[in-house]
Amino acid sequence: MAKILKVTNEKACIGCDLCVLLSSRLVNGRLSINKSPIDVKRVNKNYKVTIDPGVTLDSAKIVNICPTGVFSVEND
Amino acid sequence: MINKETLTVVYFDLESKKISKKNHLDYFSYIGGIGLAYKILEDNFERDPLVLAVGPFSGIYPYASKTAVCFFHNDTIKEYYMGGKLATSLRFAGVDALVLLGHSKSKVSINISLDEYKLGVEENDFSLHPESTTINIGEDKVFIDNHFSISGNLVHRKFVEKGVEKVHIIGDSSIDIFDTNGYEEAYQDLMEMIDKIDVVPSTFASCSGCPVGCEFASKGEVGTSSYLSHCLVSCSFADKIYADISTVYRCLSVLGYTYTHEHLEFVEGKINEVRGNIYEKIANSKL
Repeated sequence: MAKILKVTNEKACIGCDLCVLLSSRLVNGRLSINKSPIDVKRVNKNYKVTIDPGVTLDSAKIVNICPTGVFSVEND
Repeated sequence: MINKETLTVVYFDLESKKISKKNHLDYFSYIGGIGLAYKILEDNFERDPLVLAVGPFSGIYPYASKTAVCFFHNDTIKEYYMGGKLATSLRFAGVDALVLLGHSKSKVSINISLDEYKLGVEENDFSLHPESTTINIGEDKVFIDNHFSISGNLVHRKFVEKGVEKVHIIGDSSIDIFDTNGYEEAYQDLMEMIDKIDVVPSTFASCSGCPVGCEFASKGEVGTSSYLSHCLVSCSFADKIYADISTVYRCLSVLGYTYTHEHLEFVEGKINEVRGNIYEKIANSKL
């Protein structure tokens, strides 16, 4: 069964953008905000985190870089 | 896109409504942040400049999360450091410094994205741009994305004097890394230095590029760090990391910058020289 990256603790997001920049680097080989497969957007007083479902990411790296445990790896 | 030999400055003349972009080879040795901002203040002394400047690590390395805001007030130089996503958005908009010259008689908004700069009254909907940042000039405070601000009211007063009510920045460019492996290693080493940060990690909204989420992020800073840190525009709590010339030199090198140890060592002297020139101009203007 394939493992996929999921947003499982969105309310913990502090908006540091480390996942945005890392995932851009992993997928595109370049740093970018708007071409990143992960979007983090401030909505009211919280952050909305979305992952492009069409992109395969190195899930462990994304989980590890997040300082507040927003992501987890789950079975597809 | 990183310009490795020049610093990109975008000038908004609020009186003539003209906008110009210059790639300054002559500013390169000032590195960025406070060094760049002071030099711009000196060179535009007569136009009451308001400068927002980032550094070479903004949006690229952790803890380099602030934007230097510099201007004149009562014949002194004022410098503040604002957080949020402003620095990251400016970096990805390809801008090292944004300069507001003169004053607009009517209220204006400013829009910035990569190679597209607008000055006017039209309101655009930026809600579909997760990479956008808005500086909103409120009734008594300046807010970045309706959360991050700065203590005191001088920054607010200066924006109001300028006639600017909003600044939108869309960081829509990509940045190539010169030495990918070197960058990954340097980045990881910086992340492992988190215990050198002089503040307790928490769960408050964080500045972009900072994993700490400290309670002070939304309040901004006044200048308390080393000159080098302020040129990089790192958070003051990361001063132990970015005041170290060897660390900074390594991080710059893997990005392809040609700064030498001497550049980093002597930037403090250069800034002091510029500061002296500015205060001489202020004194002369009183004669």
